[in-house]
Amino acid sequence: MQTILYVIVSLVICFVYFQTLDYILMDAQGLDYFYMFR
Amino acid sequence: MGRLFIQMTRGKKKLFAAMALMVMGGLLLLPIFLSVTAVASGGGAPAGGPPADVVAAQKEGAEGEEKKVEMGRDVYYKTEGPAIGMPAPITADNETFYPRYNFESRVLLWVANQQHLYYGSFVLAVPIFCMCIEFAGMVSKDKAMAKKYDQLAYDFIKISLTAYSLTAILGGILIFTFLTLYPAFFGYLSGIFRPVMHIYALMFVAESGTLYIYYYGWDKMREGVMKWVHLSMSVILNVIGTVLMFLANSWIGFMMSPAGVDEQGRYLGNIWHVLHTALWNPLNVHRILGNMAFGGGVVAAYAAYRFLSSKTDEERAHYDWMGYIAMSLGVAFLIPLPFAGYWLMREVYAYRQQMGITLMGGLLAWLFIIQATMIGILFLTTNYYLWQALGRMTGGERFQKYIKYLVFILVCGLLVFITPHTIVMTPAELKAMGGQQHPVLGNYGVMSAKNGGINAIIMTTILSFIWYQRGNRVPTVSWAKFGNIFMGCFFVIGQLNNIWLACYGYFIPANVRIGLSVPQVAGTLSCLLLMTPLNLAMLKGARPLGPIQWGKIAPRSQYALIMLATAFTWMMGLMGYIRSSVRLFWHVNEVMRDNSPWAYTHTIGFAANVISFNVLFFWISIMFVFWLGTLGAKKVPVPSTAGQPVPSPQPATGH
Repeated sequence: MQTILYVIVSLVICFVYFQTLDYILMDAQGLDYFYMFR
Repeated sequence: MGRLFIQMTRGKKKLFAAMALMVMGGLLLLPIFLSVTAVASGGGAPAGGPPADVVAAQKEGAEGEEKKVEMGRDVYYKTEGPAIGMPAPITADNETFYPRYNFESRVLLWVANQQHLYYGSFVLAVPIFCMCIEFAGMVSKDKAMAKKYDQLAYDFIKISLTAYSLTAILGGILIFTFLTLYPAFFGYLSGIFRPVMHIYALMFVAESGTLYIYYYGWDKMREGVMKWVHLSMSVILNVIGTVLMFLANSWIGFMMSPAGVDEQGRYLGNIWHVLHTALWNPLNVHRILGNMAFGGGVVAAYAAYRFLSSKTDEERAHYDWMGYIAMSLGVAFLIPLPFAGYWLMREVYAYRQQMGITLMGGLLAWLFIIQATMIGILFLTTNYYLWQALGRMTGGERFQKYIKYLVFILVCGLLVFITPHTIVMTPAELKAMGGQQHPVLGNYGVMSAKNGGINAIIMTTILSFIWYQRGNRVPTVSWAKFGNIFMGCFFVIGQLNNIWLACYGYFIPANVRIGLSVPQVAGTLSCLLLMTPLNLAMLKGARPLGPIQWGKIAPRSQYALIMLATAFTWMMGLMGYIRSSVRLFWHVNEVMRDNSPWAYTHTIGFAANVISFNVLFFWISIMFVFWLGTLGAKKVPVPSTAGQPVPSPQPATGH
């Protein structure tokens, strides 16, 4: 149970981290990260 | 004087040492100070023109006479300035401008330049390693380790000392080659860079002096404050070495992307503009990283050679350790090297788009495919060495069964990375393939996909390093379980994000796609800069499973080190050729035309042969340097840490 909790928490943190990083760095270049989804 | 020093109290000795250091530092940094004042004053004597003209011009200006000085417009900075230099010579294909032997002058110059560069890179990189290792030894609390580090730093500098003499000799040969084969071009270039050329020579003298004191003073300055003085000298040595390299880079930067001159090539009075061209800074960063990676590779190869020829376990232990340290330092600089390369290419495109296209999508594109293959070989070899090195640790075998997955990622990443998008073809080849791009494989050549490939390779290499760090240790911190899971998730999500960005590039326009490289690089750097400290934090107070059995590594790992160094050497030769060839028929891009009979781009086969000759020549000569290093060598005073033998890495089973 503890392992599953750790995995879920880690996955959420890592996913949010990488997506935020992608968004910020694209935005800083004046580019639209969500281009395909609009 | 010596007796007086002995009689001094400890406090006075410290004061004396500090004063000596300041005086020495001041003297050695004098050339830098001179260069700064020369630059600030616009270069002192004007470059590119006869001094008498300028003196006369200044005198006339002071007297208020109305003699007109012709103004010129900077080809890069677009600023106005007095055209005080001579225009770039317009050459012709004859013996006056291009004296020659019965051989291609360009190849002679190519060889002389490349050999000087190899040795120059080596002697610039090794003292930086020395400084780091000596410092590590000084701050180490473990006396035995401190002694080992000190011995290692000494071994490093010993190798570079002989190489240093060869660098100077090759520098002389290079200048003579320029003077005898390309006098018009060399005259123009040395005219433009006149103020800094002398500073370059002065700094070379300062570097030689520091290096010799640093080396021969090793034993005298072994203890106490004098040891810190000794270390400070290595800092000064490296500052001078780095400035020297920056100055040399400004010449090639000027040849590729001239500035500070008008369209006729006349010097406009601002030496800083001449130095600070569009490509100078990216070249500086790229070269310093490249030199470090190359230097690490050469020292690792030296250690491998000594390991393989060792007769005792003690020697094998020492050289195994030396090879590992040199390889780690080299790879530490190899990892950011592709990013510096991307920056350089980005600046090339920003400077002249056509130049970028010639490099990446035109005449020289095939050479970049070879370069990508070489980068892949470097990373594969590094990983292979680390997996072999796990075999000398008790507990390292835990990771063996996962290596095949890393191999899979590395191979996939490499195959995507080396796939070309647009290549130069004959009409028949174009017809056979049905277009400029291959219908299937051409898709992989898109920039975001290629970036994805190399980033996947680098992330995997970082993971191999982390496994190596914990090879014989088990984390015991209270949060070890969460730490392990988090680290695993970070690498998995990092790789998936990298692949996602690589695929996303196919669905968005090219102008958005080009920006994907930044988050891709940031993701990889996150793995390096966040996971490495996390791993070290987890390993604090870790439970050891056994000692590292230095010297007990499989000999094939040492061949991997030699392979690594050879690949570095070959790639440096290749990239130097590409960088130089991109000027096509220009000595100085768009300013001074090359009218020699050799102003064309060689075939790939011919270029590869000359590069291979340069690599062979360098390695034969450096073997001689290595051999000299073994003459009169003392027995290595390092206690062997060899203990219980550990099992060799076995092929994984059950997966």
